[in-house]
This record gives sequence, structure tokens and C-alpha cells, in this order.
Amino acid sequence: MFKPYIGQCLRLGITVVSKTEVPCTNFKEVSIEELKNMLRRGEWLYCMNCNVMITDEDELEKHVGKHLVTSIPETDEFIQEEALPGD
Amino acid sequence: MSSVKEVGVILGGPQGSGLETSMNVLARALASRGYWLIADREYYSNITGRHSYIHMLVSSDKQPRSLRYPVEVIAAMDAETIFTHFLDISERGVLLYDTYVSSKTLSEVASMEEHVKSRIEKNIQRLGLEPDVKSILKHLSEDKHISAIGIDYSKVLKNLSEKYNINARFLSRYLSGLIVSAVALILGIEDESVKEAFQQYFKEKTIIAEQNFAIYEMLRKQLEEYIGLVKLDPPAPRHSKIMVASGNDVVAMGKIVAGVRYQSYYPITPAADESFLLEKHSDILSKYKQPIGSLIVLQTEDEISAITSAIGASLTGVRSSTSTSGPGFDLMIEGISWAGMNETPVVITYYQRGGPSTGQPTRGAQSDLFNAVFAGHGEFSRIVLSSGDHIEAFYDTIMSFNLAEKFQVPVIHLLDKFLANSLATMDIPSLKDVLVERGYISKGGTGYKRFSLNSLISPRAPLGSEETVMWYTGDEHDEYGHICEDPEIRVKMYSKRIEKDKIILESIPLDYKFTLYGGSDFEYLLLGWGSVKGVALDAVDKLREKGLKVSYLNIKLLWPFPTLEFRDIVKSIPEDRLIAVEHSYGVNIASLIRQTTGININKKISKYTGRPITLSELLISLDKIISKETNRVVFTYGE
Amino acid sequence: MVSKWNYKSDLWIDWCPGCGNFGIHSALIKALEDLGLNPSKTVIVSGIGCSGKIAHFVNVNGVHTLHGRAIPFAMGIKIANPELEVIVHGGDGDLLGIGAGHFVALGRRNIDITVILHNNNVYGLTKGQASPTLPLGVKTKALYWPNIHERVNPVLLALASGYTFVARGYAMDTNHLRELIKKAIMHKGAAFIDVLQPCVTFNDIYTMEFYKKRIYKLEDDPNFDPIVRKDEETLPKYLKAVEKSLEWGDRIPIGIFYINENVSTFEERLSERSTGYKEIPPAKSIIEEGKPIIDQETFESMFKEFIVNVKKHQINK
Repeated sequence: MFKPYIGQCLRLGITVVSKTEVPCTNFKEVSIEELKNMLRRGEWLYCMNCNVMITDEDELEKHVGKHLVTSIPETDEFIQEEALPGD
Repeated sequence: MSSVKEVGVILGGPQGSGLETSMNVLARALASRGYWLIADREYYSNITGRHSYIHMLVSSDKQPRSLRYPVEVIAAMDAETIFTHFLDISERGVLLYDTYVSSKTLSEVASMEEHVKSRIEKNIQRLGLEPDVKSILKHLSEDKHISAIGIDYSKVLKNLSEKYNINARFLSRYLSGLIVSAVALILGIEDESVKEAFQQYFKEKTIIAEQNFAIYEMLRKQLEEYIGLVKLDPPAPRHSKIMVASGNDVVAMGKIVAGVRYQSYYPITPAADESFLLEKHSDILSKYKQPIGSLIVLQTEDEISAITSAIGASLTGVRSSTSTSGPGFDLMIEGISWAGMNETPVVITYYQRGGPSTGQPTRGAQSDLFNAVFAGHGEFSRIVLSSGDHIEAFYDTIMSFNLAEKFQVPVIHLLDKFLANSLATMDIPSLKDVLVERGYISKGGTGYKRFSLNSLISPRAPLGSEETVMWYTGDEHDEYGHICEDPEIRVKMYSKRIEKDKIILESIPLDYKFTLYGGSDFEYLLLGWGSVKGVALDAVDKLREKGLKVSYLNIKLLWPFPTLEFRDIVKSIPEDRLIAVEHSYGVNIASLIRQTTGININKKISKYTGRPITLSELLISLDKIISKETNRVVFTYGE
Repeated sequence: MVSKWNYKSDLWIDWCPGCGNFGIHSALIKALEDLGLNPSKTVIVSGIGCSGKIAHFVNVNGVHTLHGRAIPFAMGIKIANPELEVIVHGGDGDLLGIGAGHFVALGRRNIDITVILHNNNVYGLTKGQASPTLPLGVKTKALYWPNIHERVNPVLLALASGYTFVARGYAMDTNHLRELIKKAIMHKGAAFIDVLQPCVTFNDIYTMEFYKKRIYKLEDDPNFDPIVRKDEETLPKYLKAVEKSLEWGDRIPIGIFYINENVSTFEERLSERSTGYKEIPPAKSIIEEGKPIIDQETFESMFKEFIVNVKKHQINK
């Protein structure tokens, strides 16, 4: 579903694959301020390493710098075909 | 006429016409004279109009335990009662009837079901009679020497209305007083007892009591020559105070004594009267010398809400219960399964009635044994207890709460309509030895594990305990109560919840598992559970009088079944001398015993008309079975 | 104010990334922090489905119950121990499908419980079947045929059932939702919040984009005041709330529709029947191991209507 070694480079419009979790050469880390601003706008973030949603600044502090924090990745529209009934 | 030890009485009339009141007042009058009695109510699922009757047995020397036919006295409010019960009057018995109905014919009785009518018609034809009251009355007095005593009911009531200026619209309300008075006179009960019975029953409505007693006085003159026609022996000495109550009543009393603080229910027959009585007393605990709490009785939107809210209340540490009948119990099963999963104490008082589906809402049955024992998905511990009579039901109610809390399991107290609705005299229960047992209550605290695996019984802290948080879930969970699908945890938790059965069986005393009546020297053993106890004990006494060594095993703990003790008690006789009796088609206790003990009982006595097994029926069936004429007897007597 | 309690649980939350439940969860935790509710005196009661798991994801007491039955469980807990703050979380299938009867009954009783509806229009954990709030004719990706049931309007149903606090929130607007949750918890009586919640996996119709374009806040309208302050305001404010509840389409209101604290709570009604209820509710009754609860004399006086005195000359003792 969400794997830290496969991503989309928005600037070049290409898919980036890395076995070493090294991002694309053009990758620029977002600043914590930018991430905080996203939260303030009501957008949520996601920690790729922990697989957790980040909806507030406290949570953000725990991950930023150490882990890969991104805006919510787009949902894969085919996930539902993989989903099994669970309840 | 010489006096007798016991008298059978039937009071019959249309549902809603005051029979309930008649039964209660007459029972109080007889009790205050020191007599023992039992009274069963038989009625249709109907508010007013259909035939209903009270079947009573009154004794001068001991508590009657079963009902019998024929009866010595029948008081008929209407023609339908005469048609329905004329074969039930003993020779030289008494029929009290309204002179107004003497011209009635069977075809005029509109409220009678066609099947009943044609069956009665056949009986009438068989005797060579005409299908009318006149012909029946003639037959009763000439062929059976029955005193058919006619009273002009409307004239008595008219006199009353003139004396007290009562609106004619309300006069029919006094019919119950008329019936009570007439029967009391025939039985020769003293005036004072009748008066006090009216006073006690009508309480603050003193004028109603006075008016009813005025009816008695009028009838005393009119029936002078019949006073004491069926006279009971003077009663044997007994306590100065006795209780007269129904099964529903004693269970409600038991719940108050047990400390119930939350009772939920959805209206259903024959369970609702219990909650009704509790509701009436919901303020009593605040008015105690030193207020001891509050009892909340809540009518919920359905039985699902009844059980789940009772479980919710239990999570806060409260003794909680609900009461219902088969259809309601069916709706509660998912909740019971949740209680099993979450080791939650809760008491379900289950009054059986005839099923399946709506079945016979107002008739009795014991056909839900398997439902009580096996209902629910997955496997978990539960306790199913049954009670054989009113007094047992009282103490078992209290026991149910203790067991539920001690073992943290749902307890199903399995009763039935016969017990719920029948009225009986009894000694006032003694509370001296009634003690509360709450089991393992924890104070919780930081790191509290509601479902700790350190002991088979988990540490139970109520929701709201200081510095404590806990989780509950219907999913499989870890010690904290969080969802957990780990196979090892699954095995530990799952087996823990089932293996409680073992300590339940170890800690419940033998007399709470079953009781043997009649002596341990038995050559035949009759066995059953619940309300067949009374008739079984009477049958055992009769057979022992004849020299036949029969005993009765009254099984109380239906689940977990006391396998070892049961095997031990029956080992002295061969399997083919075990006889099971039950108000069901299958006599399912036999299957339960075979499943849990390997012992095969193939002699079965059954009745599933919805009416109680009578003494004569049971005696006949035991005779047939013991003489090896048959292995199975099914009975149908009673309207 | 910084709360002395940590409401966040250490458990890994297994909702889909981007799930609206995260917004509700986050708003709830912030509301609890703002109010500083004691975790041992707070109980989250939840039903079945994705939303039901929320009871495990907050560090207060959690009771994860049966499908549709969170409300009656919560009712038993609250009535038995009114000191507890009880919050119900349920999905739309849970509260308005299988549990609709209980949802209506809670409103009628006006018990002091907060009900938070996770309304995503689908049954997520069983693969996206239509729920009671999905409109007629709508075909989400997960459905083979368009929905053949008409939707139920949760806000209107809550108003009709007698809830005395009725609001709607949006899962992605956590700050707004947090304020609603706080007000609902503080409200005296049955409170209801319909939370619009995108289901990122199964609902491709009611998406974030869908709601973003349509949602507006009731509080932005200076002419709309949902609070009943005097009895005579009851009807006009109720009717206004009903009218607002019917708005659904290009514009979807969120915020508070109706508040009426003049209606007696169930706790008050129970106190009339059981006068000691406030001082000694069921959970505060003392029931001690090894002791009887009432004495013989009290028992006999309680049930004197069932006790008959036997005439003197017959007495045994």
C-alpha cells in the first residue's frame, strides 16, 4: 500500500524506486514549518515509517526529522478490490 | 356432613371479570384461617372475554404441592364455565352458578373456540344430555348428587347498588366479591377472616372492602342452609404469620433481598408481573431507616436493550438483572454471549411459556431447557438454575446473584408460567442465613488488567474505580481488554472462560445441585426439574404409601451439569428404572443427562398442552411405566 | 489548560490511512484534553465496525459492545453510575440501521449521554455495502447496483426523537468538531453529533472534495441561533432546526442545529420515582460481602401486602 521505497517525484514527474530508501536526487526535505502550516490548514500528514496518521503538532514533533513525513498519500482506488470482509 | 382434609376449588368466568381479585381475596381469607393452598391461573392470551379459571387446592394439614381433578367446589360466573368444567366436579360436590344462565345453550356461548365447543358437545352427547345448562344441572344433581346452588347474581348486585348508590356501570366489578363470598360460605370460613381479606386486598379503598363485605352478608342470609356444606377440618397449627404470593412476587422479593439495583425488562407474559412489583418498590430503599440505595427498574425499548443495559449496569459493579420469557430470551442471546466473553455477572430470570414462536403466551411449559443451556455462539461458562416451588424460587433468586458475581458469568434462573402465576401459601422466608457473596472484587489501579490470566476468576473492578481504566470488547482480547488475535492468547482466554465450569461444580454445594426426596432406598427414581417437583412429590408419597419404593430427584443445577454426583446417586438402580418427567414433548432433561453422564433414560412422562400435570395423571403414568406397559406417556387433561 | 492526563493510547491504530475516523479521534482527544476529564470516570462505549475500535484507541475506559447496541450498554452504565461521563461512538449502519430503535429511545429518555455518529454512508469493514445514510440511486464503486434504499436524515431523526443537543460536524475539520464535542459533553441531556466522514477506501462519492465544496458553518449565519432560552422559543427554534436539517445538496450545513436544556433529563425523571437516586445511585449502594442487605423486620414491612396474620386460636408459636 504505502511503501517508503517507492514514490512519485512531483518536480520531475517520475516514479522513484529505491531499495535503500534514498530519495530522488532532486528531493528536498519539507521544513517543519511547512508541515505545521499544512496541519493548521486542516490537512493531515502521514508518517511513512510508523504507518500512522498525524493530525496534530505534538504528534508531528515525534516523527519529523527522524521519519519520512508526507501529506496523506492518495488512496489507491484498487485497495477495495483487495480488501477482505473484516467484521 | 363430616369435614374433609382438603378441598379442590375452581373459580371460572370470562377473563377480566374479577377472577384475579377473587383468587387473591379467597386465598387471604383461607390463609388467615390457617389453611394451606395453591392456586393456578389458567387463561387465554386475551384481555377480556375469553374463558379463564382459577384451580385451587386447599388443605388443612399441609402445603398442597399439586392440583387434582375432580374438585369439590366450582363457582361459575357464566354458562361457559359450567359447560367447560361440569365433568370436573366430584360426586356430592357443589356448583355455584348464576340463575340467569340456567336457560343458556352451548351454541349461545360465543366466546368459546370451535374446537373446544365441539369436544364439549361430544361429551354432552355421550352422556345423553342436551347441550344446555338446564340439562347439565339436572344431570349433576340427579346422577352425581351435586348440590347445584343457583344465585341470582344481578339481584344481589342490584341490592348492593341500592344500598350504596353505586352506578350500574360499575356493578360488574363486584362480581369477584360475590364469588369469594359464596365460596367462603360453602367452605364455612368465619366472617372475620373474609372481612379482613377484603380489607387487606383493597387496602386504602376501605369503602370497596366494606361494599364487598356487604355482599357477603347478603349472601350469608340467602345461603344459610349451605354454610359449611363442604367443610374443611380445623387447620393444623402453624406460624402466626404466613405469606401468600405468586412465583413472580417471590422472585421480585428475592431480588430486593439480593440487592438488585438495576432491573430492566420489556413487557412479556409471564414475566412482567415480577418487574411490576419491583417497580412499585423502587423507592423503598431510599426510605429505609438509613437509606441503602436506589433500585432502578426500567422498561426498555426491547429485550436486546433489556439485556445489554443490564450488562452495562453490571460493568459499574451493580447487581443487575432482567426477566423475560422465551421470545424475549431469544433476542437476548447475543448479549448473553457478550457477557460470557467479558466475564460479566448478570442474572436473567427466564419464565418459560409454550413455544415455539409466540406459542401459548399464557400457558406453561418446560420446553426451553436447551435454549437456556445452549443458546449463544461460541463456548463459555454459564449457570442455569431451576426452582421447584415458590420458596425455592425465592432463595434461588438470591443464589443467582451470588453465583453470577462469584464466577463472573451470566446466570439463567429458569422458571415457568406454572410457578410464575400460581399463588401459594408459605412460611415467611427467613433472611437470617441470606448472605451476600460478591466474588473477586479488585480496586483496580494503574496497570489494571481486567482479564488477568493469573487466576481463573478475573479481578473485577467496577467502571469508575479511582485511578483505573479498563477495556471491554466482544472481540477476543488480551488481559487489558484490548482486541487481540494472537493464537496463544486466544487459547488461554478462551479456555479460561470455559474452564470456570470446573470450579463452579466444585464450589456449589450438593443441595444446590439436586435434592433427593422420598428416601435413598429407592427402587425407581423419578427425576425432573422446576415446577414438576410438587406433583412428583405428591406422587412419590402416594406410591410409597402403597409400598412402592419410588423417590424423586429434583435437579436444580442444570448447567454445568453435576455429572459425577448424578452418576453416584443413580448407580444403585439399573437405567431402566429411571423415569423422567417434564412439561415438553421431548422430556429433554433425559437427553441432557445422556449427554453429560452417558446414562440413558428411556422412560418418559410428558405433557405439553400448556396445562399442569395433575396428580392423577402422574400416578397413572407411573403405574403404566412401572408395570412395563409403556416407556412413554403423554397427558392432555385440563381445559 | 494542559490536562494532567494523557488520553492517547499507545496502540497502533489500524484504520486506513486518510480515514475520516482519524479526524474524529483527534477531535475527541483534544476535547477530552480541553475538558480535562478524568479517564477513570469517563467511558467510551462503541458499537461494531471501524468506528467501534475507537474505544480501544483512547486512554479512558472503553466498552466495545455489539453491533447496534452501544446505546443500551451506555444507558445501563450511565443510569447505574451517573457520575460517569459516557460517550457513545457508532457508525451509521450501527446507530441508524441495526440500532435505530435504541437511537430513538435514547432521545425519548434524554439521558445525559453524548452520541457521536461516524457517518461515512457505507459499511466499511464488511467491504462497503450501502448504509442507511446513503441516498437512493447512488452507486459507490463498491456497489454492484445503485442503492435501492432511501437515506435517513440523522439530524432530522435526532430532532424527532427528542435529543436536546443536535449538531453536525465534519471529520476533516477537527478544530470545529472538537468544539462541538466539548459542547455536547457539557450539555445536560442526550446530545447527538452527526459527523460527516469520508471513507477513503469504499466511498468515492462522498469524498473530501465533495464535502469541501459544499460545507458551510451554521455559526457563520448571524441570524441563526439554535439555543432555546425560554420555553416560548421551543417551537420556532425547533422548526428552524428541522428546516436546516433538510438542507442537503449544493450546500451542507455543519454546526449546532438545536439546544434545549429546559427538557427534564432522565436522571431527573428517575429521581422522582426513586428519591434517593441522586444521593445513592445504584453503583454507590453498599452491598457488602458476607452480610444481609435488609433485615427481617424491613422485609416483612416492605411486603406486608403478601403477609396474612393467622387467627389467634390457630397459632403454633
